Amino acid sequence: MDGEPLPKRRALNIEMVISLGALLLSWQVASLFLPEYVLPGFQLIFQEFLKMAQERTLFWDTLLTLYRILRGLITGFIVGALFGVVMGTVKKTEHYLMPIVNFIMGVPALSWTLIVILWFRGTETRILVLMLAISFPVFAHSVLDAIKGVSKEWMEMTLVFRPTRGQVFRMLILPSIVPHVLTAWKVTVGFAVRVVIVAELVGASTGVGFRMLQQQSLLNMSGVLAWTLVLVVSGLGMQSLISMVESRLLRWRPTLS
Amino acid sequence: MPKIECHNLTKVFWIRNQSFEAIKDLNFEVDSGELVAVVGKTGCGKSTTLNVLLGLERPTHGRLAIDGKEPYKDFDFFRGKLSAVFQTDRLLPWRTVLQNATYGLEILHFPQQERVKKARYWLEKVGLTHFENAYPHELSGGMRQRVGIARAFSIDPEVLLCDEAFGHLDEVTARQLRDDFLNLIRETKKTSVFITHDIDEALELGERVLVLGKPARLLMNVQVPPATKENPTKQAEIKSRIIQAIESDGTRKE
Ligand SMILES: Nc1ncnc2c1ncn2[C@@H]1O[C@H](COP(=O)(O)OP(=O)(O)OP(=O)(O)O)[C@@H](O)[C@H]1O
Ligand SMILES: [Mg+2]
Repeated sequence: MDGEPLPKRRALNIEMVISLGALLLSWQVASLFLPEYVLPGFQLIFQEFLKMAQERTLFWDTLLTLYRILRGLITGFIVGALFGVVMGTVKKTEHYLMPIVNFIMGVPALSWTLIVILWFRGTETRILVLMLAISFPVFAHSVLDAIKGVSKEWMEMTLVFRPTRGQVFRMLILPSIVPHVLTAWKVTVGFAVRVVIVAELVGASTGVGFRMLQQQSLLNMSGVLAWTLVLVVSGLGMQSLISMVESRLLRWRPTLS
Repeated sequence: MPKIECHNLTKVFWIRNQSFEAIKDLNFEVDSGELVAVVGKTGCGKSTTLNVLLGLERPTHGRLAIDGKEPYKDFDFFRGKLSAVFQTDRLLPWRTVLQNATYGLEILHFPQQERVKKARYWLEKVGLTHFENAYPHELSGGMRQRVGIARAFSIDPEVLLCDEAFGHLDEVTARQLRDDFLNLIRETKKTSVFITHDIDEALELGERVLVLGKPARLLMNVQVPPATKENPTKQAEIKSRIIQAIESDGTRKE
């Protein structure tokens, strides 16, 4: 496995504050000259947040959407890891399973959204299957690649001690695929946030996507933007959560400093 | 009965329908408790021979046995009986020094406390007591190789196999490690095979030196009694005989 060092992450850096600050400032200035259904000012978006909090949609719909993403990705991870492990450890299975995985991966997320709506009735089932379909191929690929990438030298070193199959898996394969799996999680989380919204737009009556659609039909730009912010923040939040797990689990990695 | 018996061992690799002989009719024996060095040119099949000894490669013809059993066929018979030190340290980067040293013991199901006790003992022997919580990337190449040595000794194997164990360390570090390693081998009286392409190293370490041709087969079998090791002229004479043997093997082939 490659021990590519990761740069240390800081939660807040000065460059980020400056660039985001500049963006927000120009937004605010522009909002003074443009109508509010095009570019509402901060105070309007803030009011929208207050309203959302009062109606309790801010908390519950955000939580629901996050729950849908997480549940779908965990299911996708379990199925994908299973596929990956089987393909990586049982001879020839890759030839049979990989075409299926690749076919499913080749279907665009938007097609999946329409397909699950036609196939299933319940909102939750639809979204679960959708999340599964878009995430498990990514996990299957990354687990398979990681298993294939387990160093032959480490394998030989381990085999000299005559381990059981279970020991090889637990003591050598598992720890060496962890970094790849975490990377796959980061990629799929970002992707899942975008897809779940589309699914909620067209096939749900709850969740952030649905709320966004509601605001749009009311021609309330501030509402659309407020919910968009919720999404961006949730996506980034989940990604930094994974990064935190990563830096805990991968303490052994050399860091650039 | 010798501990290791290698009889007409041949190993053929197939690379895109082309056969390639890495070992051809290799014969040698190693007695219990003996330290034998094996020298030969780069690419002559030394590592392949070691992999057959470790049971990682199947012999194409012939027979290689340790205690009368074949490491490849009777794979599990050798549980806890073999250890190896490789050219690169092969430490697992996610394990600390101590955890790397306990790796073999963990595979052999030693209880936690005993694992740590044994590993600490060997880490102390190789001079790494104060580094047990460091990760491999925090150590120098020489220190990492020491961890590899501790890992190999920790399971108290019957046979210790080394493949250019000090091959890519600087001269001074290698010399130091070689001396320490030799002391450990003498102390524990393990049957050892030490592979190297460095004739001086072979003469310094081995009680006996096997000289291999290319493809691997026995060209010479030289006893190196302690008296010879103290005598530079005698040593130089043996060295030139070995070089001559390897060179004439090359000219005969081409
Ligand atoms: N798995 C393999 N498949 C095909 N050819 C191989 C394989 N392993 C080794 N060889 C070939 O066998 C020959 C001997 O290789 P080996 O690694 O045993 O040599 P060596 O004496 O250890 O060399 P060095 O001193 O460079 O380590 C080489 O030409 C190598 O290309
Ligand atoms: Mg070699």
